[in-house]
Amino acid sequence: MSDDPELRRWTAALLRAGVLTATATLVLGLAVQFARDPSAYAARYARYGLGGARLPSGVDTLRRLPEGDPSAILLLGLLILTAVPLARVLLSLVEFARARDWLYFTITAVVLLLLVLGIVLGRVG
Amino acid sequence: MSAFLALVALAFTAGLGGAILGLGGGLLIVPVITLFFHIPLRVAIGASLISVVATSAGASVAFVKDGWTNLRVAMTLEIATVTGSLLGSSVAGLVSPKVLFLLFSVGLLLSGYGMVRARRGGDKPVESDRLGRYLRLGGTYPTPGGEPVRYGVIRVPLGAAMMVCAGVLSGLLGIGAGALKVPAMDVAMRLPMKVSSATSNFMIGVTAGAGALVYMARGDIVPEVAAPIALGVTAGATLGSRLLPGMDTTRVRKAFVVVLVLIALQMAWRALTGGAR
Repeated sequence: MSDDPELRRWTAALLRAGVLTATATLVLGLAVQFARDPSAYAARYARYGLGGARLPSGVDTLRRLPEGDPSAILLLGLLILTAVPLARVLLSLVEFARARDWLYFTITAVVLLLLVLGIVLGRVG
Repeated sequence: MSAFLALVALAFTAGLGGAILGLGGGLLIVPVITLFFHIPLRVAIGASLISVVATSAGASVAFVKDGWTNLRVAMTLEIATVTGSLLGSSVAGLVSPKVLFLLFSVGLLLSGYGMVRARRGGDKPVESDRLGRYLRLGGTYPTPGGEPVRYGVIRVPLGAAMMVCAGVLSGLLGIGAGALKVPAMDVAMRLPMKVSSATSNFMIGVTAGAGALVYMARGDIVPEVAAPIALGVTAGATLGSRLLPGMDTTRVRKAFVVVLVLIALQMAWRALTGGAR
């Protein structure tokens, strides 16, 4: 990466933006939760965190995002955080394609495929 | 509510200490959360993985901008670490919590040992071997006001093998496993020390990210647990990296070693007396 200051700047910017956005979303989620109904938080913490009950599906939770459901906002923030490395690999993929570096395009594509495989494994497992 | 605040506070301390001492994320977080908050291991590991992604991203920014991170080495070895991470996360449910607790115990003790031992001085850069040349893994690193220094990379298969192990540990325990990634680069593949640290930091994000994706898809990430931990660790790590340049870390180091050993002993105790879950 030392040979491409553009890519370095974009990567650094992506990392910083991703963490900031995710953090802001998490703070928002917590703020909404504690403004509305702190006991609901405690209840979910006890049920899913300590108790180990099966969580409602992520998709179902996110569907409540438009209502401002705090759990959905929190989940969104965590998703953004998890997506940061994915986005970074995607950025590298694009850059390698632009530079016509097909060896590294392929290597990066393999990593991306493995990450997708991870999602599949999680759903299936 | 008080559990929430305690969680944030503890995560903050872990993040702060981790940033100041260059300690791995996760190695401290998971044991503390399971020991003191009685949160089940898989929920703790999921939350830890997300925090590790956050701290890796934050820590990488400066290194990437300044040109220390070697992207090609990172991408190539990420094939190894991500494979390992997928393996580790997938079998995590099959491994008994006792074994995981013991692994944490060993990891903490090794970390503590690594902290008191003096670090080796830098060795001279090497020329790339054939595979290193084919993959164009060599690079340069910046020197203050001077010419960038060239370096090469050797023994890629050995480095990759170590990276697979690091990935497995990452997915299994929810840690960054930098303590294995850095030597894979600077000892096995002979990259310069600071380049190894920077690149390891960078790779940890994708490795932990792979694990986090598996845990998230599996429904093992509990927002009410993961969110305060992620925020606490990120805040602590941010403060820690600001404080670090001006600090003499010796006394902090000594205090932390004591804490590490105590937690390691607790983990071992729980494992052996049946308190692991």
